[in-house]
Amino acid sequence: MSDTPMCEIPIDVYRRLRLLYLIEQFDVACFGSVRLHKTAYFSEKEQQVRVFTFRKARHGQYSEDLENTLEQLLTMDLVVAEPMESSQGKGNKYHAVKEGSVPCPHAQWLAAISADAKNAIEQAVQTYGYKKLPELLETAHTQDGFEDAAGFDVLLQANAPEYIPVSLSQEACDDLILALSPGFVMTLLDLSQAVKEFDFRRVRSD
Amino acid sequence: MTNYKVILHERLDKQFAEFRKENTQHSNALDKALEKLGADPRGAGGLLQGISQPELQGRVYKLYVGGPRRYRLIYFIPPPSERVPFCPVIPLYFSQVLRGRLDYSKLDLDRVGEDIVADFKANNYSKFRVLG
Repeated sequence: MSDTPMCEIPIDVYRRLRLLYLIEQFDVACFGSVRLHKTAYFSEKEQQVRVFTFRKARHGQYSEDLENTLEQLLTMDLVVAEPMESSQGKGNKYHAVKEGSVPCPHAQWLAAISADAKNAIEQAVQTYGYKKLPELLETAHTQDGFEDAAGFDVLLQANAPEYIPVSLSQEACDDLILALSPGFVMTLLDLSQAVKEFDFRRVRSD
Repeated sequence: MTNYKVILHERLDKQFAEFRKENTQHSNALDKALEKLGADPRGAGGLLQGISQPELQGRVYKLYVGGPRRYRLIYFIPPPSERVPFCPVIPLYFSQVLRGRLDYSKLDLDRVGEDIVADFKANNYSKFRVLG
């Protein structure tokens, strides 16, 4: 693959790809929103290009950008939220929908944008994604600058440009943008429902 | 052998007519593309990559009218239904802008195909026609 960027994608699309890839890395599911935010924080921390801003909140590092992006992925039926069983904790667990017979190129797309980001996400899920929650919180709360920060202070600032250069063909880039655009995907989901009730025999022929 | 039929919405019908008028050199290519869609929609275009939702997987296709760097047509193939004696093929979006010049930041993706879906939902049969 050429190193020369052949196209650009909007930052929102890149955020969705990064978060989706992170959730896809969990074996069964990401158990809880706190875990999701912390794992994403650790995946972003050492990155040169960061897409989520994290602030200090009640449970530590929290990103509103991430929360909005998660909502979009849920709306697009790419991620499913289910209540955790009481033994698993409180809140929701999140898992990516299983791909069917057609493999999805999320890993390939992410590698084409930033192999470092892809590796950092995989590493963060392995290192932090399965820690016991108290241990994960302790690790998160002992990060540099955390204790001194006041509530809602920025702990990690996003710095990604509005458009991200991508070393992908124009066609692959088009697919990436469309497949991760909530409006377009929602239309398709609506269409797939609407045609079930539509009586095609009543459409006039030429 | 599956019997496919292209179900064309009146807005795209008008858009195709306009395209034929403005791009006479690609008019045949558009006719051929629509013909292919009716004969072998899965072979005519390529799958849109990255669609992992179970209800959409393997159903959203793209085709370039007039060659690989030309005009993009996106269509949907719903699952077969016992109620319908043919398998519908539904064009949803056609870009009259050359692919290399299409700027998605200026394209309102929230509105792509919105009118077509609304007419399906409202059972507005008169807004559609079967091609061929």
